[in-house]
Amino acid sequence: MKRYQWIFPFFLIILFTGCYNYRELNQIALTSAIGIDQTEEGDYLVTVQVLNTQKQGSDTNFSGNQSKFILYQQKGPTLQHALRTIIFESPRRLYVNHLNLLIISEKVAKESIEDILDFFARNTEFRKDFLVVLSREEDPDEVMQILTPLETLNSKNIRDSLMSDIKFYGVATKVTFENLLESYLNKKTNIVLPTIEVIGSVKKGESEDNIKQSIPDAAVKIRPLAIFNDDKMIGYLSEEESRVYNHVQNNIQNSIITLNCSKDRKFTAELISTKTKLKADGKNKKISISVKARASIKEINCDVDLLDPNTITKLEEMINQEIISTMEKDIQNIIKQYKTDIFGFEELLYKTDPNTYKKLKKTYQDELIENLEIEVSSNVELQTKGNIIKEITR
Amino acid sequence: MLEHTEQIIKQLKEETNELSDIIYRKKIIHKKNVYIIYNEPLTSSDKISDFIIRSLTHIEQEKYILPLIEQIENDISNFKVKRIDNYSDLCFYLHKGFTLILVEAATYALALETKANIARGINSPTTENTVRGAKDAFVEDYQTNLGLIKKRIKSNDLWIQGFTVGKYTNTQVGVLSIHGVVKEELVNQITKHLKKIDIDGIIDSGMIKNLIEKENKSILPTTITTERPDVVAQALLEGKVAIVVDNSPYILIVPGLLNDYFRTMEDVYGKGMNISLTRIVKYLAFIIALFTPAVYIALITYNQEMIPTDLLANFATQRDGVPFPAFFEGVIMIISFEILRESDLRVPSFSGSALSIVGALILGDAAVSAGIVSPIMIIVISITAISSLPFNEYELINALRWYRLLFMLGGAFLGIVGVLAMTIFFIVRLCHLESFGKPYLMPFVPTYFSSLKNSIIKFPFKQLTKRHPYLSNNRIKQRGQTK
Repeated sequence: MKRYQWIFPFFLIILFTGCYNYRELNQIALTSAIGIDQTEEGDYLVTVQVLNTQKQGSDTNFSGNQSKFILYQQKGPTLQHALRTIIFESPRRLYVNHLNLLIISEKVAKESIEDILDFFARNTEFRKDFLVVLSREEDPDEVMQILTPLETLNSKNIRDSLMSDIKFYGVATKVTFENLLESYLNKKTNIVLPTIEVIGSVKKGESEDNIKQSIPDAAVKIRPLAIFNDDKMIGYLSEEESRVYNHVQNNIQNSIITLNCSKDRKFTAELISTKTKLKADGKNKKISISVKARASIKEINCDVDLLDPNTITKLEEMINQEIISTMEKDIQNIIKQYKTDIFGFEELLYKTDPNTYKKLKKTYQDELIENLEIEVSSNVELQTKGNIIKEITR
Repeated sequence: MLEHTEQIIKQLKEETNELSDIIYRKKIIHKKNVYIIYNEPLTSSDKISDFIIRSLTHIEQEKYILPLIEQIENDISNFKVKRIDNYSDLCFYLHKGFTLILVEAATYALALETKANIARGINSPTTENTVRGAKDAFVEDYQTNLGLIKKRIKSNDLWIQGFTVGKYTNTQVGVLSIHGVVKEELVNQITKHLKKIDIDGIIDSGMIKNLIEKENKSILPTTITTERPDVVAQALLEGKVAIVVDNSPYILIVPGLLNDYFRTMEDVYGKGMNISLTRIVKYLAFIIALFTPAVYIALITYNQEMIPTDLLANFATQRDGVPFPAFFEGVIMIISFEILRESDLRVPSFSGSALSIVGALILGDAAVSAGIVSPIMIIVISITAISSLPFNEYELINALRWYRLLFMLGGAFLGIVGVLAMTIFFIVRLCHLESFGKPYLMPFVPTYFSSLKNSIIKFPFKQLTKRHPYLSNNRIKQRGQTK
């Protein structure tokens, strides 16, 4: 008997832990998206998208006639209150670890997003890697109701189209909650958020017909960035400005650029492995941005001889000029119009030359960003011309 | 000692309770009583009539110069003749299948080998199949088994120490080793254990294994059991010791270390690179067999955040409507699989197919349709089940089941943390384990690079030139020098 004494404490250790955090899969409601809106009384209106994991007939494969997701909505004075009272409707407790997407309405964003940041940062249940987007016109719950054809979950649809836009065009920016919090807490930079919008009729988009048709009645579209000053949204960037922002942030790897090659004819080049380097020069109050990329011609409608090295140099020069001029113009525009630093120039200045930064900050105070000189240089190398050399004519 | 022939026969008859199997035949040669005694089931009557009776008749006709017993010893046409001078030896040889010749007033008796062939012929191995390699397997006969090994190692250095174990069975046990390769203390340790054995009977080598294994507390095997002579020969060359037991077609090899259970004879014959892949797969199977159900249970009941969202949604849909907790579901499936496996082993082969149909239908399809288990659990248990089988040591397969349950318990009570805790326990246990004084995890722990060359990764055969220092003092293997 004495030999086996160790067994008792051993089992006590196991049994008395009481299955901390034990939850079976069929006791949790998998939450994929949360939308936050505000009622007219000032309460928060929280919409939660929960995956419908009910087995449908003998089909175990997450398809069938039932809705693929369920929306629950509650209002409450605080976010946590609203979220917890969803229990009134839902038979299962919300499981938010797999949250994909947080949709904030324009109304809330114009008011303040500080409460939202505080709630999600404080709460231990949330992972911090979900994407945050801003819904332009529609309420978040309207966006979340749209049925999307390729992806059964519309939150995943939004996430995926955001990600592919970031990879191949560059209007949107990947803003996870973590990034958002980080740039919010950094006093020297301001935050931006990608935005979405429903095109077509929201009413029709909610119905099953939307995914039965080859041309959906409604779809969720990615729109350019929203720009913030502290915790309040102050405006939207244009598509071009958004891409310039992403260029400066070195977010764009792959994008396209379209230019005139003769008076009324155009050509399109694809920019690949774009790299942007920022340099700050505190003494001259100068920020220099250098863009480096490889390009390939995707489409050219002018009659040019691509075998001629001079033509290539000319085209390269044109692309470089275009990049430099748009970037300089748009950066100045954004700074002038919104008087806010979303690019992180001040932060860069501080990091490279803290003493000068402090001096400059004292003299210019909040107007420092407007007094910085921005210089852009671009070095694009045309590498491939495609399969044919000349323009196709008869 | 054996002068009083009549008295001896009387004693023998008394002790055997007049056993009708023992045949006493009296013959008078040159006016002396000669008794021929043999044990009928064990002896071949052809041999007795051909060689013994005929020789005796021949002797009877000749004139003799020597005393009768010496004359018989000299003239008998039998190769194996032994002098016996005490009663216990007499009994021993009688029960071994020898024919005894007792001559009145002679000081000793003669034992002549007339054993009947009551052993099975040499067949191909049934439990250790290899594609490539020798096809002979051990049988139940001690001498045949020794012969199969000696056929492979023809050297004066192959030393055999014989013992007789078992009060009633008098089973022959032989300890084989290659002198000069093996460490003497290992042989001494084993012989010491064997001498200590005091038991009614030894039926199979499995009993010897249980008696000499020091690590009885551990469920993991610490000796290798094999029915292949080439495995024994290879082990002997590496400095291990083989124990041959009469009446058992399985021979024990000690020490048995973890790495040994992942090796087959094909590993010795095959190309290094190919064997390495096989071994990696086997080690992987070992890990899968131990951890899959535990990790699955831990993930879906505690650590859902570790599963990708799509997969989790898939799992949740599949588990929808299953009334049992995941742990219980897993235990049900594991127990049903064990029942199926055990039944499959015991049942005669003609009803085996019925069993597999019922098993596959019930365990697979019906249980899922009825909503008792989720399809994903079937997949988990299936992969676990097939992963727990590719080892040649049956004892290891059985031991894995306990550890699998232990890990599952850990997973069911504490999630991934629990699995981790049990893993630590398992590793500590493995490190603590010894097989006849050799560390169980050798050559991984303690690490010897020269031996690691033939562990998970097998180096080219020409580079495997050293024996493990724990197994042999004579480390350099002799290789045909092919420069």
